[in-house]
Parts: sequence; C-alpha cells; structure tokens
Amino acid sequence: MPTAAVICVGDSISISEEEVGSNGRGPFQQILMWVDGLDGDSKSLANRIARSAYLPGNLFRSVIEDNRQKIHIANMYQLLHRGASEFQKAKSGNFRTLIVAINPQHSLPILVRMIWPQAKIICVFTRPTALEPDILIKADAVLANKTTIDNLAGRDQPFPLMLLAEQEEDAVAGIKAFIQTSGSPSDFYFFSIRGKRYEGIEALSDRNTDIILLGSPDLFSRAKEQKNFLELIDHVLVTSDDVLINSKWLYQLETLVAREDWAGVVGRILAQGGRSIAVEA
Amino acid sequence: MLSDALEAFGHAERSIHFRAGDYDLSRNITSPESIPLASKDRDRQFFEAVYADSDVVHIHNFAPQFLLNWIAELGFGSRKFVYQIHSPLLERPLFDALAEYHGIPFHHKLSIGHFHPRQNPSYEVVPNCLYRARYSRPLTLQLREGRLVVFYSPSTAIKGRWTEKSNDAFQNAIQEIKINGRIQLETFEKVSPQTIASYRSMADVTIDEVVTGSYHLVSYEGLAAGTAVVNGADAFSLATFSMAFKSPTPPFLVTSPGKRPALLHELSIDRSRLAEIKRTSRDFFDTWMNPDRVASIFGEIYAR
Repeated sequence: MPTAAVICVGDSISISEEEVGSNGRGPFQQILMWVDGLDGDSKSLANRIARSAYLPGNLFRSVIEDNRQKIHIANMYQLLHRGASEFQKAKSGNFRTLIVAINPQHSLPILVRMIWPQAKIICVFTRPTALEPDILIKADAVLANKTTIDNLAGRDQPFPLMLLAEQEEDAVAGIKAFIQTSGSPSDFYFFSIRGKRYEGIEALSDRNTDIILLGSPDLFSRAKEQKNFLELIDHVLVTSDDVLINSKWLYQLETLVAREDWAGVVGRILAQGGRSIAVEA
Repeated sequence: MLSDALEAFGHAERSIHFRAGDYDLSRNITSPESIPLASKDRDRQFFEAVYADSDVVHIHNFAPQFLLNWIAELGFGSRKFVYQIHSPLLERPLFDALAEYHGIPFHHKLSIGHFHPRQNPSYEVVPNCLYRARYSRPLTLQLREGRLVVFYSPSTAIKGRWTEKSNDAFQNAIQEIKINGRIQLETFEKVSPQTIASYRSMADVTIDEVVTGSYHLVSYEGLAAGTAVVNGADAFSLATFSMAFKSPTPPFLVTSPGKRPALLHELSIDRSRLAEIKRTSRDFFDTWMNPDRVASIFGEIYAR
C-alpha cells in the first residue's frame, strides 16, 4: 500500500473563516429568490419555499421580474451595474447566498453567481425552458420534471446536480437537501476516484482540503504543453496515481459523480475555489 | 504594458491602448501611456479614426456599453476581436453575455495565467506582460554584505477567494520578520509601481502578499528585478503560469505565511544560496518572461 508524502505545494495556504463559504463550506446566510412575476406557478412555489426552507433568521430576499419586455441582457446589465456599488456597500455579495431562480427567462440570475463568489444557484423549472444548456450548466443544481431533465441529460452537458421535481414538494425537498449539505460537515472522508487506499492521506489534509492529487513530482511538468485549463485537468487526471475528493462535494456534484465525469468534478471544485494539495505517491 | 511592448518590439506596427473600464479613468497604475475614453463626441471621433485603421481589437477585462455600441454601429469588418479576462470583478463576468448581445464576434478568448483559468477553463491561457521602458531592470546583482533586504509592497486589497492579500497568519509573519535583526523589511504603501520597480533592484527578496494559493504581478516584478520571490502559489497556479509562458515551473520560493520568517532567516545566513536564487530569478525572467517574448506570444495569437 503506497504511503503519501507531501511535496511541492504550499502546504497550508490559509483561508480565513470569513472566506470558506466561497468554496462551499459555510452554511447559507440568506436565500435570494428570483421570481418570474408573470407566472403564477413561480410565485406559488416561491411562497412555498419561503415557508418551508428553514434558515436561521429566515433571511429571504426576492427579485421579482414583472416586466418581461425589459428583460434582455443590456438592460439587466445596466441595472446590475447601477446596483453594484449598493451591493458592495451592503456587502450583499459577501453573504453566503443561495439563489433560487424559479423558471428563469434569461441567464442573468445564473451569471450573478459569478459576481457574488459566495453564492450558489439552483434553477427550478415548473415548465419547459428555452434556456440553452450551456447557460444552465453554470447553475449548481437544476430541479425540473422528468421530461426537462431527460432533455437536458441528453445534451451531454456536465450538469453538477439534476434533481427530479414533479411536484412543489419535490422542489422544496431538493432545495432543503441542498441547504443541508452546503454546510461544513464534521464527518468527512476522501473519496478516491481510482478506489485505492493510501496510508496517511488523512494526516496530510484537513476538512478544508478539497482535492488531493497523488502522483510523481513531475505531475505538472508538461503543463506548458497545455493550452487551456480543461486540457490541464485532463492531463492531471490521466497522469496522477489517484485523485481524492472531500466527501462533502459528493452530493452537490452527484450527477457528475454518477457519470464518473471526474474532469467535470475536479473542474467544478476548482472553479468554486477548492483547495488542492499535490502529494507524491 | 502589453500594448507598449507590442509596438516597441515590432509585433504590431501601431498599438493604441484605450482605458474605458469601470475603474476611475484617472487610474493608470500599470499603463501610463493609455488613453482614457468616455462617452463623449470628441472621444468617439478619435476612437473612430483609430478603429478604422485597426486589424485587431483586444478587449481586456471589460468594455462599457457605450463602447460596445460604437463598435457595433461602426461594424466589425474583417478585424480580429480578442477578449481577455484578468480581473473578474463585479459585473465583468457578465461581459460575455453583453458582448454576445452586441454581436461581437470574438476570434479568441484568453485568460491570464493566474487563478483565472479555473473559472474560465476553456479560455486559452496567456501571460501578463511586464514591460516598462524604464525602471524594470535591476541596477546590480552584486553580493552585498549586511542585512537581508526584503520588499513588501501591499497593493489594493480586494476581498475574494483568490485575491485576498493578507490574513492573520501573514501579518504575524510580517511582524516576526520585522523584528529579526538580520533582516531589513522595507514596506511600501501608496507608492507608485514605477517607483517601487526602480527601488526593487536594491532588494534581495520580494514577498507576494496574496495568501490564497495564487500570486500577482509583484511576483513577476520580483523575478524581473533579480530577487528571491516568496509566494504561496499552489500547484495549479504554478501550472497555469507554465501554460501562459510556455515555460518550466517558475523559481518561486513557495511557502505558507507561517514558514516565511524561518526561510528568510536562512537566506540571511546563506548568502551563496541567496545569490544563486537571485541569479536564477533573473535568468528565468530574461529567458521566459522578457516582454519581447511575451509580446510575440500575443502576436502569434493575433495572427491565428
């Protein structure tokens, strides 16, 4: 059984407690619901979620869109631009926020997630959506009925988590599960992609470590030959002896895990600020 | 700096850098030669004249809506449009969608090779260009006696997963370094980058204050000035550096903040090791990061 030893990487890059929410560790502090104001189902579901999805202090905020004629990216961009300084003042972007977008008509609720680094976003659809899959994959989870899910799955896009929600109850349950698994679980383990066991792995890491790469010291030595980060991840996955993932990600990336889309899993974790250490097997 | 280097080293016949972002137009931290652009008739006339004569439009980070409107109205022609992300703050991540709305036909999408490729994994990774016509070169690499000179120049603090530039562990380390009698810690705050760049040639060590697994331009400047560069780059940050410069792993001294006082103390004693590290830094910059080579990387992209 190989024994791991630390090499080459800053061994304890510190991230303050304030920050840890940005990579999926902290519990949510507020829920922001983005509601299609012209849609009765959307408003009904929003009310249901507000009643049922418990957060300490019940911090809910809503963005209600009631003029669909004005929803295009240039208008929304200007709106957001004007609001940016206010968000900064109020530090809204620093709250660990779950955005629940119900039947979103455009990409903005999803792209907002990139502006607020501590936010995660769930899209809930009670009817078929015209949004393109390459927009939707930027969400952290998609809740929809079977037809919509099958349609999206058939597009072969790396969705992190797709949950069946035929009824309002299903949607509420999915959101509650997402909230409960977003915290910082006291019990964790490292899930091995290759299924091997390595002595001493746990001693090398702590709960704040998201990914452990096992490999030879020249694991990254051919990085200069890669053109983009997707190629780098593929290369690392092929050349490493193993890649271990903190178990706290398994639920939130369940669809990718089930497909054994490890490049998608690693890419998602790194994009969300995951910490990695490289070790010599 | 890239725009200046493209022209200075013959990779573009003419390169003009407009500054039209959401930062205050009076800010010109790294591009003193850039031209501020606002939504005014006179600015539009000047932009139109330059645009009419252009082959490549390279948008760095962000272009405001008025400028995208101008471009759409003037037409795209056969120009190549290149988008590069560097500082994804505030609304900048929406630029993609906004540009798409205006129909900008990007030929290449690029990401600076720090932490950014993680968030833009399909973008081609490119280097930052450190080029100042003056002040970038070290005055001397001679071995000096006396205390180890360490430069710490905290820059604009931007809270964020990758941009955090200090924390308690880092500040404790700075305090510990400060009271070490073998070390002369020079702290620069509110001093222009040009001035710090000129002074840096007198330093032995550069500390990069990013504490999140990435690094920033100060690590480049430390190598350029032939100093030992201490930072906390993680494996993926080092890899993206290599991808950007098409180079070997950079010779950074990678440590966590807590281990920096001991590392610097060792360097203050072992002067021959220090000299070797400094030489390696400078050689690395000259070989892989020199502005002519970096500009040529972009020239190749523009030509593709």
